Amino acid sequence: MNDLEQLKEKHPNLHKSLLGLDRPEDFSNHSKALIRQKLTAVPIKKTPVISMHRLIGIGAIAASVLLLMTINLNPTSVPQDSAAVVEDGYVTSLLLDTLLLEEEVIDQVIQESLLDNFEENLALN
Amino acid sequence: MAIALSHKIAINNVSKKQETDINDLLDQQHDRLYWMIRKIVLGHDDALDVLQNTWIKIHKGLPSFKGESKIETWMFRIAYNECMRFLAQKKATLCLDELDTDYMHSLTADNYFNANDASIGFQNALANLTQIERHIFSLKYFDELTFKALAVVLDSNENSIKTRYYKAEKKIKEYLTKATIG
Repeated sequence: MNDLEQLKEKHPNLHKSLLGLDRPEDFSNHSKALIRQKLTAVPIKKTPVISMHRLIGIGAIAASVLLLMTINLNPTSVPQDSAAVVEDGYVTSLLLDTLLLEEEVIDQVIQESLLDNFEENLALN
Repeated sequence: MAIALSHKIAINNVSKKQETDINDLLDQQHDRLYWMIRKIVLGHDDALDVLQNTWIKIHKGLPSFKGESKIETWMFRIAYNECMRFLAQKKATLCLDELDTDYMHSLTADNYFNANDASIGFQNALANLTQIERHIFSLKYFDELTFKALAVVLDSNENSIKTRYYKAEKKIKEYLTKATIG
């Protein structure tokens, strides 16, 4: 048996006699009561069931996000930005020209019909 | 509805079980944890503060305790971490000169330190060790933790702890042989 083990046997109350560490009388009960008081003030974590719900919720959200990302990454319709913009401008101007042209034609037709009506009225009078 | 009700019952059962568990643990482990903390922080009042914080952490952490180690080891780890936090805060408030004589100064300054020949001799021997050697020696020799448990408590390698412990033991034996106490 080594010296330190012998020392342990010689000092059954190690903390007090060997280390000189003392504490107030009835400390243990007093301290336990104080700790119990503090523990009741701290709410008990009731999370085992709730956390599962949260976990499922978070999982569902994550799955949805992943699904959306996968759909967006699907290369079925790859837009060609610059070409589309040029083409759009070209088409728009063409359409506008056509519309303006048609407008002029329609105006002309209306004016002619109005004149015809006017002449007819004059002839009748 | 039935599921919701069973969940509610489960939650209540968990709460009651935790209450019982924490009360049992407090009865069984209060003094052990107090002495473990006291030997590290030295002052009785400081030990009391650290002890209370430790129990609050144990109470909060109990639902997430996975049983990867023994519950006592897990509790000792929480207590040790609290001690380290306390010592770090204390060191931040001390100046450099005080740091060298910190161990014996803290010890003798405490109202609940009763000096006798044996305690002065043994405490001087402990003061000769580095802080980590002192903690390892104290946890092994006084609190009788296994090397495996010590590795968990100190979050360190078991072999390195063994080496440090035997080094500390040798230093203490040499000091005690010179001082011839006990």
